[in-house]
Amino acid sequence: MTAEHRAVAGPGSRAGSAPAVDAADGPLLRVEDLRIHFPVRDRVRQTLLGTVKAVDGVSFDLHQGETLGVVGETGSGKSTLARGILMLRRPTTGRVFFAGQDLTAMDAETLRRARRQFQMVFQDPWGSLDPRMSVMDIVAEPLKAHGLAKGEELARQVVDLLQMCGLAARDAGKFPHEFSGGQRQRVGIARALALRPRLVVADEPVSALDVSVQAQILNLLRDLQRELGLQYVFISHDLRVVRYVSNTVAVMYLGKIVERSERHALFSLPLHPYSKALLSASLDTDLGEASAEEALRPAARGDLPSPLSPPSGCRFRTRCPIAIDLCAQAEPPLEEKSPGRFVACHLVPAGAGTPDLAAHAAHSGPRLQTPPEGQARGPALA
Amino acid sequence: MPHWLSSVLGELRRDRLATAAVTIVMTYLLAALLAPWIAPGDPNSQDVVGRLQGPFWDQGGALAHPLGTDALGQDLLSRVIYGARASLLIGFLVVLVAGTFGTVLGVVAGYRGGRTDQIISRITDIQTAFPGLLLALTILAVIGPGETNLVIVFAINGWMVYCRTARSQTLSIREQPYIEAARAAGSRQRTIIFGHIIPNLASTLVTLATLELARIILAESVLSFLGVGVQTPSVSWGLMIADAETYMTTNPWLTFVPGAALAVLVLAMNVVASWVRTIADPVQRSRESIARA
Amino acid sequence: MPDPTTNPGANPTANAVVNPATGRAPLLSVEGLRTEFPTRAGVFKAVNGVSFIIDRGETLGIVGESGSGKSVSALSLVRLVAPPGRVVGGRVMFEGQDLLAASDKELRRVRGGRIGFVFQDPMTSLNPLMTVGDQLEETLRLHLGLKGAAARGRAVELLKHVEIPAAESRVRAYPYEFSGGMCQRVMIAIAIACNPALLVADEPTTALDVTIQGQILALIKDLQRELSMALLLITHDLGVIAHMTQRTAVMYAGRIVETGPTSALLGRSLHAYTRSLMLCRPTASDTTSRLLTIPGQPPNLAQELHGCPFAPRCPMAEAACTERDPELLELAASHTSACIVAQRDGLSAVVDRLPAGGGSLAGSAR
Repeated sequence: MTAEHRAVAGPGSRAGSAPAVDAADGPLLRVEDLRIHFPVRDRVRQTLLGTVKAVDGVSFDLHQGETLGVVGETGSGKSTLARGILMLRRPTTGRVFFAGQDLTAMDAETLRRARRQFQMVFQDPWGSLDPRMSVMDIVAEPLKAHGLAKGEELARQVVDLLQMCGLAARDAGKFPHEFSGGQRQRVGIARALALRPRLVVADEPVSALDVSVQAQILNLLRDLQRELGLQYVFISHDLRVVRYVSNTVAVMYLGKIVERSERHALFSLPLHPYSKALLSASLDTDLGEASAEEALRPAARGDLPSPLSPPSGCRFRTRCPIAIDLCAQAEPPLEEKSPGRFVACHLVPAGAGTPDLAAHAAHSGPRLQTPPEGQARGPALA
Repeated sequence: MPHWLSSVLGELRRDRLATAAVTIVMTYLLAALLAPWIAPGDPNSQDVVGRLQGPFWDQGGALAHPLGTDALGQDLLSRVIYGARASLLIGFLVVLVAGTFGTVLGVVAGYRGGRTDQIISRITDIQTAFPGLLLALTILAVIGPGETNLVIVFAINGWMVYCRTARSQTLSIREQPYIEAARAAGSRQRTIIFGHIIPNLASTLVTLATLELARIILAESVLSFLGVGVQTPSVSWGLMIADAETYMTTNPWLTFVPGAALAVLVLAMNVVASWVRTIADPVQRSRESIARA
Repeated sequence: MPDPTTNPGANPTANAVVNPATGRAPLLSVEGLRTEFPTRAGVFKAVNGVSFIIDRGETLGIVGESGSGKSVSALSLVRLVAPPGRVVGGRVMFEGQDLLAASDKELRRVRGGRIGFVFQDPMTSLNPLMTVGDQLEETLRLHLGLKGAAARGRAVELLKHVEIPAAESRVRAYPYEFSGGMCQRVMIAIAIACNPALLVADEPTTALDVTIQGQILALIKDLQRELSMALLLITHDLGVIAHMTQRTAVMYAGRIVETGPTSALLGRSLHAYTRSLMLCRPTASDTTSRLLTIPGQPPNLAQELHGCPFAPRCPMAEAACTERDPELLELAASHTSACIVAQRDGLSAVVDRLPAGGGSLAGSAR
C-alpha cells in the first residue's frame, strides 16, 4: 500500500496529514485507499455469512481536464466505486478528497451542499427518471434542491439545459415514458449538468442503448466536456467505449485496480494478464490475422470466484494462464512498473511497458498465448 | 389541471365498464350530498296508516312513495338516500384517518428501516392478529354505539393494511435508481419522501383506499344490522335491513331496496378501484396505449 | 455487375424451395414471414415479409437493433410469439414440414426437440424452484421418453458436454447456485438435449461478461460442429457476428435490408444501414474524431410505411427512395441488398459515400 500510495500521490504528499491536497493545484479528485464492504446475511436467519469487499483499497487521482475510464466485469466493484466517490455509499474506510476537501469527514448537510460540484449519470435510462415527474421537474430538481433558481428563471434554465443536451424546449412538458432510451439518457445528462458540476461520474451511461444511440450519447458527452470543462469518471464494461472517452484507464477485478495507465499504452500493450484477457475477449468486427475461431477461445479460464471468498494472494490467479505459486501466497501491490504504468502483478517486471518494448509487443500482438517477457524473472521478485 | 383531467376523461371514454361504475359512484355521492333537496320527504316522518306500502309498480303502491314505505310508514326512497349519507360519510372518514395514519407509519418504517421498521412492523403484526369483528364489538360495547364511535373502531381496525402496503412499496421504491439520482442531485430527505416516494405510492394506495371504502361501507351495514352501529333516528342501510328483518317474507322489497343500494355501490367501487390502478400510473397507461416495441 | 432483375436467387416466392447454391432443399426456409401485434395505436408490424434459408450445419446471423424484429422473427418460426401478437403470413418449411400450418401437438415436438432455443437471460429462463437436473430431465422425458436413472444419466452427460465441472454433483443444484455463464451452459444443455437440427440462439451472450462471452460462443461453435447443427444466431453485436457466422442478414424495421457472406457484408456493405451501424462503433484506431451517428428514430411500425424504411435517417437517401418499396436484390455473389441507390449505382456506392471517419475503417492495431 505504501508503494502504491507513493506512486499515486507522488513524493511529498502523505495520507492522513490534513488537507493532503491543495485546492488550487492539486488533483480535482483524490481517492485514498477506499474500501467499501458489505455484510452479507442469510435472508431467513439473519446470520452473517460473510463480507463482500466490493471495493477493497482503491486509490487514484483525477486531475483537471482528465477522464478516467474504469473498466471491469460483474463483481469488479466499479459501480460501487462510483457510488463511493460520490458518497452515495459511505466508505467503510479510506478517504475521498474533492478539490482538497475530505468528503468522508463532512456532515450530511455540508455534503449535500458540496454535491453541486460533482454529479452522476446513471446506467438505466428507464429507472433513473421518476416516472411521475415531467422532464421539467426532473431537470429542475437539482436546481431547486440547491435553491439556485425559481419560477421563470428556473424554467428558462431547464430549457437551456435540454437544448444543450439535444432535446427540444417542448420536451420539458413530457413524461419519461414518452421518450426513447437515448432521449431519456439525454434528460439524465441534462439533470447531471444542471448544477454546472466540475466532475461527472458516469456509470455505464451507454450500456443500455443501441449502438447507433450509443454513438450519439458518446459524442454528446465529449462535446459537453469540451464546452463545459468537465472531468469524467467513466465506468463501463465495454472496452471500446472506455477507449473512446478516456485519457487514463483503470482495470478493476474483484474490488481492486489491477492496472492503471494512460489509454494508448494500456490498449496497445496491456501488462496485467487480466487486462490482456479482457482485451482479447472483446470481439471486434476486424478479425485481424487471428482466425475468427481462434479469437473466441477463452483468454481467461473458468468463472469469476465468489466475491464472498476471493482467492488468496492475487485475486485473478484462479483464472490466470500464467499464475505461479507466489501468486497464491502474496498479494501483488499496484506498482509503477514503468513511468505512468501501474500494474498489480508479480510477473510483470519493472520496466515493462516502456516505449521500445511497447512497439515490439504491439507488433507481435498482445494475445495471451504469448506469456509476458517477465515470466521467467517473476519468482525472483519474491 | 385541464390536461390531466382531459387525459383521465379520455381514458374513461375508452372503458365502458369504468364509465358506468364511475357514473354510479358519482350518483351516490351526489345523492348523499344533496339528500335534503332531492329526497321526496323526511326519512323519519312516520305515517302509520300508510305503512308497508309496496313500490309504485306493485299492488297498493303509489307515486307518492315510489319505493313504498316501511313498517312505520317512512318513505323508503328518502331513507335510502339519507342512508347513503351515513354510509359514505363513515366510509370516507375511516379511509382518511386510517389511510393517513397507516401510510405515514408505513413510509417511515420503509424509508428508515432498522429498529424503527422492526418496531412499527411488530405493532402492525400484533394489531392484525386481533379478530376484527370481535374487537369492534368489544370496543363498541364499552364506548357505546354511534357514528363517531364507528369511525374510531374502523380506523383502529383498518390502518394496518395501509401501513403494510406503504412499507413494502417504500422498500422497493427506495431502491429505484431515481431515488439515488435525487440523492446525488443533493435533494433533502423531505423532498425525496414527499416528492418521489409518496407520489409513486399514490396509485397503489388510492386503489387500496377504494377497496377499503367498499369494505367499510359493508362493515358499517353489518354493525348497524347487529345494533351496535348507526342508531335511530339516524338512517343507514344496515339499520334499514335490520328493521326489515321481520318482514322479510311478507314485504321482501324492504330488504331488497337497501340491500341492492349497498351491493351496487360496493360493486361499482371495486370496478373503479381496478380502473384507478391502471390510469394512475403513467407507465401502465402508456403500456396500454403506446404501440409495443 | 450482375443484372438484378434476372437473378433467380433474389426471387423469394419461387415455388419449390431449393437453395440455388447447393441445389438441394435447405434445412429451414422462411418465406414472407409476417408477424403483427394489434395495439390501440394500430397494427404493429413487427416482422414484415422476412425470407431466409439455412442449410444443414450452417450458421446464419441476424443482426439488428432493438425493435428491428429479429427476436420476434425467431419466435415466429415455431409460433412462440406472445399474444396478442400472431403470425399472419408466410411459410416456414423445416425438414419438409410447414411449421406455420402444423398442429400445436406437432409444433411442441419441434420446439425443444428438432429446434433448440437459447435465450438472452439465462437466469430468468430457468425455473428457480427446480434443480437444473430436473429441468433437463423434463425435456428428456417430454421429447425422448427417458425416465429415472436413464434420464439422470443423460442429464449428467449433457452437463459434461457443456463443460460444467463436477456435473455429477451439480446436477442436483438449483439455478441460483450457478453463475450467469453456468446458467447459460445449462440452457444450452437443455437446448441440445434432443440433438436438434437447428439451434436458435437469441442474444446468448448479451447478459454475460466479456470474458465469459468468449467461452460460451466457443462452446456453441464446438457443439455445432459435433452435433452437425445449424445455428441461427441473433444478436445486436457486429463483433459477435464477425466471429461466429458465415452468412448474415441485417434487419431494420421488421424487414431484412441486406444479406450476404459475413465478411463481405461487413467489409463492403451494400446497404447504408449496415454501413452506418459499422461506423457508429468506436474503433481502436480512431479515438479523436466524432462518431458517426444515425439521426432520428426507427419508424413507428404501427403506421403505414412508404418506400425504404431507412430513408428518413439515411445520409444517402434520394427522392427515389421514398417513391417505391425497395426489393431485396442480389447485387454480388449471394450478397443481396434492399438499398435502391446501391442497386442503381453499383457495389461501391455505399462504401464510397459513407467513408470511415478520419482514415480507414479497419483498424490496424489489435
